[in-house]
Amino acid sequence: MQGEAERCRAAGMDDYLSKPLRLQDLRPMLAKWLPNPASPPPQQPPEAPQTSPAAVAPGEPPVWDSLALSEIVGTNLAMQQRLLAKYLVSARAQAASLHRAAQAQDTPTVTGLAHTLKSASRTVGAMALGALCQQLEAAGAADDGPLCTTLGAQVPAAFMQAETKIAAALRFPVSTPVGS
Amino acid sequence: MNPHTSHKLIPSVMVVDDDAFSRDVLQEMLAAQGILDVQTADNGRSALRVLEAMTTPPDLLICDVFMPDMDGIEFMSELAKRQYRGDVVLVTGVDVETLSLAREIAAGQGLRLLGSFTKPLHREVLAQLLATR
Repeated sequence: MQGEAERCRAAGMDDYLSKPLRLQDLRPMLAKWLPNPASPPPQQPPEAPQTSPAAVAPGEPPVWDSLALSEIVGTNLAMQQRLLAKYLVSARAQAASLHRAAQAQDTPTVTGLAHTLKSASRTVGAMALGALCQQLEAAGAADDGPLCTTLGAQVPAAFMQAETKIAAALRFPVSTPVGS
Repeated sequence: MNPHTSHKLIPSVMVVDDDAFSRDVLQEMLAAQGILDVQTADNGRSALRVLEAMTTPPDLLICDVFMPDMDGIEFMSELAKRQYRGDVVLVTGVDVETLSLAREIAAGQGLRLLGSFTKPLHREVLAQLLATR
């Protein structure tokens, strides 16, 4: 297989994947070869100041959009509460794992964990955490270890902010059983 | 055995997704539609094991595309080999390119692909899918 890959590249191909096609191989390759406007080029210095004055505040995603979940699952309050409680448990574990993987610059693990936590967070409306996970997913896919570490350091605080808001809403629901 | 002629009023469903929270969300939404006969699996390989243990295959399979061990694309090929005749819905959080690739592969292998969607699947879309099948 190695020889086949070399022959393909020597013949002018950009890259090579062997069959059977696996998404875990295809995905990094798509990330490498397709232009991705969502992720800035890695060589851009992260400390470059934002020159546009209105660049930060209006576009910033909210810590928790309490209406997001009902747009997806409907307005059944009990169901929303069950899902939010489950989210807090699974997201806490995923945020901890993501933080560890980012510190270790384990970019494939960062890509996978960030992807999972991103979609769960957006489902429940934890938009700021979701946006951070999207950046981490892109950094992981680009195999940018230092950027993963920088972004990963923000994960625990981003999760805690979302957790605080969601837990507060769960503690004072319209019809909570006493003592639960 | 043929789902073309024996559409049950309330279908049995299998959800294949590596993310437990995604499975929970779908299961809650299916329950809200009156569908309680729901099997789950966390990747293609475990889904095949669950399928093999079932006497009647599920009427509808809702399957994630990107999963560890056996992803949705490989799972589609295995389903086709086993001549699965139920409906398939693909969902994914990854880019649209991957989703359209998965769609082509599923359709090319003769599976009954009902639709493919980016995650999360909204309640209205799920209700519509269940109504049209």
